[in-house]
Amino acid sequence: MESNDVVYFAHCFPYTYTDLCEDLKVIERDRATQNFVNRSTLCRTLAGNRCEYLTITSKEKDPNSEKSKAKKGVFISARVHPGESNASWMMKGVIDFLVGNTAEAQALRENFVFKIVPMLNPDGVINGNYRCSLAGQDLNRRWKVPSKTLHPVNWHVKKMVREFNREREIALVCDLHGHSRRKNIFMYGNNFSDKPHATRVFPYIMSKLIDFFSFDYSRFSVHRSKESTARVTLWRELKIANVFTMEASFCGANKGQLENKHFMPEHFMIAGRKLLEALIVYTKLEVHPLGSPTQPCIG
Amino acid sequence: MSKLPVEQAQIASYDELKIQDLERELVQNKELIEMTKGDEDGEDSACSDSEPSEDNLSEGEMAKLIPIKPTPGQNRKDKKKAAADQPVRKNSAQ
Repeated sequence: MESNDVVYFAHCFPYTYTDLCEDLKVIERDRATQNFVNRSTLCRTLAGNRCEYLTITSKEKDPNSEKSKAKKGVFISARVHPGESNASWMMKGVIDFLVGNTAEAQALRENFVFKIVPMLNPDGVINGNYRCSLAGQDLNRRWKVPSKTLHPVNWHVKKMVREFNREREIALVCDLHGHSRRKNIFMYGNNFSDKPHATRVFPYIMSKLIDFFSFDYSRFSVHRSKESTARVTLWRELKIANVFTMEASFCGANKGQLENKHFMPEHFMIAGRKLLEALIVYTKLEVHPLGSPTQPCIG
Repeated sequence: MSKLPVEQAQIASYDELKIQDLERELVQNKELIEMTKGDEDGEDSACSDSEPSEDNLSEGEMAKLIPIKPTPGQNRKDKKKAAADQPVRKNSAQ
């Protein structure tokens, strides 16, 4: 180090709005992905930035065919809290896996429609906020009654999810976050008092897929203070079991092969990939080798 | 890009898992439900889904920065609502 060097400290490995745009540009330019990725703008933020929005699904010859209509929906979002860059790394793992050339990715694209908002709060990310949007508000407490003027992303996401729900059955909603106090990766879900296991199956599957996922850190309470979070708001609207927040530690793991080690971006990306593998297990999706004839394959 | 160290942290491959077996485990083993009961880690500081941090602007401060003017249509609706909400005056009996 030289005496005139400027040193930056970060809570977590940075992932900027520019990084997102660059990653999406690479995906868009790939001819193979043009068959199944649609990149668009959900809305403009308070500062006029684009809120990126992806739809990933295989193109059917007839969009009104039974096969097309039978596809279930998945909505995944990240980075509502701009300081939680670990969420963006998990999201990168989700997207990279979904657009990849693997049998699993192909099976997922053929059986699901994925709607993805990779960065819910680009203004906050660009301006270096930790928690809030440019309205000075925690957007993850503004889901119940979002203002179209002050919280345009929340407003447009809710509208989109409602339309999505009218169009097809939604199998999974997951909002990706970073956690500043706990180790490992875990989930917050909701609870059906008559069948508590229903909302716990998905995180339980995750705990079997990666050893730094902690089922026992996961919680499924629905407190009044959380009524305006995405997790609770969308659960109340959609009335499905699998509506989660997935939390990744800013630190690392306290168990498994990564015990006492700091998470690296690769580990967050693995968690994003495993979210999709858990979906394969949960829906009993049959995965055929690449190049083999595919059939409707959700059990 | 270097290969992701997936194998380093993997317990089981997804194709080894059966959802029916995992559901049965959750139903039969009450401890699995018990261990996930209770509050989230909502201790003092902001930690994502937990309590919001202290840098949220109050509504009063927000209104100074971003005043939202009511639309003309909204004004008429508000006046109608206000009129409807007025208590009915009782005539004094004489």
